[in-house]
Amino acid sequence: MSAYLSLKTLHVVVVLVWVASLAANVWLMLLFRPEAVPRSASSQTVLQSWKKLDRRVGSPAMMLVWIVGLWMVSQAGWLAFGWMRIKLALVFLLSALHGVTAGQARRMASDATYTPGPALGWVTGCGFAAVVGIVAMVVAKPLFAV
Amino acid sequence: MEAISFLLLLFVAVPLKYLAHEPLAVRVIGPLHGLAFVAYIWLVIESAAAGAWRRPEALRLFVGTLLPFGTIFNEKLIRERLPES
Repeated sequence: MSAYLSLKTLHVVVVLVWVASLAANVWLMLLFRPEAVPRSASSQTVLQSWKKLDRRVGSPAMMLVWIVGLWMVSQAGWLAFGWMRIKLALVFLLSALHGVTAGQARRMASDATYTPGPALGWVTGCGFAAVVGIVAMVVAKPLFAV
Repeated sequence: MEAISFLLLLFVAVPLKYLAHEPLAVRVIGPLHGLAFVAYIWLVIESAAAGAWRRPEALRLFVGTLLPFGTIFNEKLIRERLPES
């Protein structure tokens, strides 16, 4: 397997880990949001464990996605293509949404009385739309974005 | 690192590419700056969502990344807040 294909494999693996971690962030907040505040000690333990897991797995996976992705873009000259620019913008949006959910989860883990606002549904919708857009750009490489 | 890579890109790599027709520096520093920019913005968003920054402060930190020397200008604010966050 060539070096480029090895990097591509690594990129896809870390993307899967990152998106799963982002989805779990949102799911955890949706799960605990309806709970009356202050939350129980057991709920706080779950949130604190998740916060550690996101810091050790989810966030490093995101950075690895960027490191490997930018390396591939730079080596193959993908930046000349419109679909890649759109994809980069969508990955940037997804990274921002991950930052929002990671920060909110950290706040919930450290403050048993804090509950995320109604914007969480909006974050979930945007994240899903960004993932669909990224996959569409990579797979279809639409003509309008060549 | 974000500020230094931005200044290197702006004042060394880009002039080398367009004045001396040497694109290597842009190919190396460009992705490195991209990475530093993403990491910085992600940290600002994450810590703002965690309640470490008020909205005007987060906006100031964001605008600082778009201007040369902007992040250096914001360094004092970040250092003051580091023990709290």
